[in-house]
Amino acid sequence: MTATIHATFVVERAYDASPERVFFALSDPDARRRWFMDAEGFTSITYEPDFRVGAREFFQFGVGPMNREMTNVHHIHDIIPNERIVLSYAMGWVGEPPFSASLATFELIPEGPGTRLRFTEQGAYLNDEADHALMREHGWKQILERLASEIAGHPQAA
Amino acid sequence: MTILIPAGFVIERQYDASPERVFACYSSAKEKLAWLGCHSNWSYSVFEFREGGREIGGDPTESPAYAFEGVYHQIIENRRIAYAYRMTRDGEFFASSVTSIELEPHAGGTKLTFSEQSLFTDGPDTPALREEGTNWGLDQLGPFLETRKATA
Repeated sequence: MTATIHATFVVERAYDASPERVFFALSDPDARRRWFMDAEGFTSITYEPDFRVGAREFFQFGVGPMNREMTNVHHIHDIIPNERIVLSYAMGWVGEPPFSASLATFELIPEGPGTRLRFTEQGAYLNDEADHALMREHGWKQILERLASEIAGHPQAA
Repeated sequence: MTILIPAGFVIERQYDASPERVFACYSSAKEKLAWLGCHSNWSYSVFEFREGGREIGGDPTESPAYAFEGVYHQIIENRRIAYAYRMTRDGEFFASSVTSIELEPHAGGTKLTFSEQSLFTDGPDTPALREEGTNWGLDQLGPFLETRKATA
């Protein structure tokens, strides 16, 4: 057995939209499905959002050409509308123990007419992959790009 | 704008007991309450020691009243426990953490490595207090293991 690797990274991304608009994209079930589930290389299998403090959310994806099934379980720790979201999430292949358990924090900082999103991941990587935090950071950069497309491409529901 | 303070620490301890015995101090609610007693009336309303299981504990008689809501993410028997949790004070969120406890056979006993990353709100409960409290708890574990050895 190898030791757990603990690592932290921060990714920041500026959006040309108000904190209210960014928070809507982060919390609305239809918007989340688009930027979180419908990514290239991933097939959405199960989408069970439940965006409330204390709630559990369950997501399942097929990954890569072989459609290997991966689960992602969220527990929501804290929500301050338009300001921040704190959650923990564990990811793993179906039928195996999770390979990571992380805290994920989204902070929305007003910046001129827009918003700076500061994403912080504090992860415990539970398998033998020293570069896991780097891969994860790359993954979140891509996700935050998709969030930009979501905000630009889908007017907020009234 | 509210402030969140990221923090983390690693604590290592050596115990004169096997990994199996140290693991048993975490895997049952009764054993855990017997040594990790920094709150006098702490109790668990949920104690599901398995992957995906929850642990919910608190002491409603205290003022302020603290509560713990956690989820076990990985458990490797006698080797590793990894979990994430949120803490509240009088029902108000003040910290989230992700934690791993690693047990390795070492020098005839067990080396325990406690690693935690946290976020704290800007309030009376600080990262320094958490680290101090964790050290205090792990200090209790050695003498507790001695008592278990005596009664075994």
